[in-house]
Amino acid sequence: MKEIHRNMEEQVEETMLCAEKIHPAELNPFLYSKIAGRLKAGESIKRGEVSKIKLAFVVIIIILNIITLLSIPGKTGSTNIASPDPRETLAKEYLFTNEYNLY
Amino acid sequence: MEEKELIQKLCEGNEQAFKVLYDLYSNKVYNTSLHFLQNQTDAEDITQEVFIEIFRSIKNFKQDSKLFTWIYRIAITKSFEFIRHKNRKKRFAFINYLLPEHNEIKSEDFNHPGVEIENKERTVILFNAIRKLSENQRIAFTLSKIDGLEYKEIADIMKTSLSSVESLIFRAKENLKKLLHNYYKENL
Repeated sequence: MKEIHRNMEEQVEETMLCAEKIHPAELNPFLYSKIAGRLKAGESIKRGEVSKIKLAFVVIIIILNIITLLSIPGKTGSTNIASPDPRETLAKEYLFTNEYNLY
Repeated sequence: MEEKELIQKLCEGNEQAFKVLYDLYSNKVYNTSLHFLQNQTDAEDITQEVFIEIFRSIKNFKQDSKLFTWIYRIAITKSFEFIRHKNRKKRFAFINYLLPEHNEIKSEDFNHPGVEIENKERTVILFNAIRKLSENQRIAFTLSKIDGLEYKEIADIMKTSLSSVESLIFRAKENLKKLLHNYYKENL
């Protein structure tokens, strides 16, 4: 058990030491020309701006859809259908059962 | 070319000065971004963004800190903005599963190109553990242990005191040890 624990501690220590053994990675030699190209192009529309424009477009479409859906009943001129008065229904039922009561 | 002269020329939009600046700092920016993002393509993209940001906002640089500190700050901010954006994407990744051809977003093991073969496996484990640290601990530990910056430089970059940096690195080490301990407990 002690052996396993010691082994584990050694592994942890060695892994921690790896952080100091990392050499710098080489950068793509063509990256500068890419940056220079972007700077020359003026960068009128940044990446973030594109996504903001997309989001704004989607929001506008959703709002327009909601407005259209809400305006449909008004345009067709449909009236509200009133629910039947429960007292009236009960009275009719009472009449019916009394008039046709065979027993 | 001295730093002040370089900044002056950059403010004037001098392209040659920009090339000098790029040659001086591009490798540092790329490697720092790479250590945070743990992906070579993303690090290249962030390096591009950092230099474009430098070019755009050099006029706003007040020179109350070193140019190197300011550039590091931009690189770190851009890297973590990217990480947060990616994490947000991951949170909504379940939507992709509803689509017939979903693009799986998963955190992959990072094989750093600057690691010797005998340390490759351990470095992958270490980077996976570093990813789980808090943002500040991750910055302090990475800048100190991987990028090899001094505590004073890290304090300037993070706009904090020397003792805070020491404390952050200490806690990062402790947390990493715990994480690695748990990993080896399950995998040994």
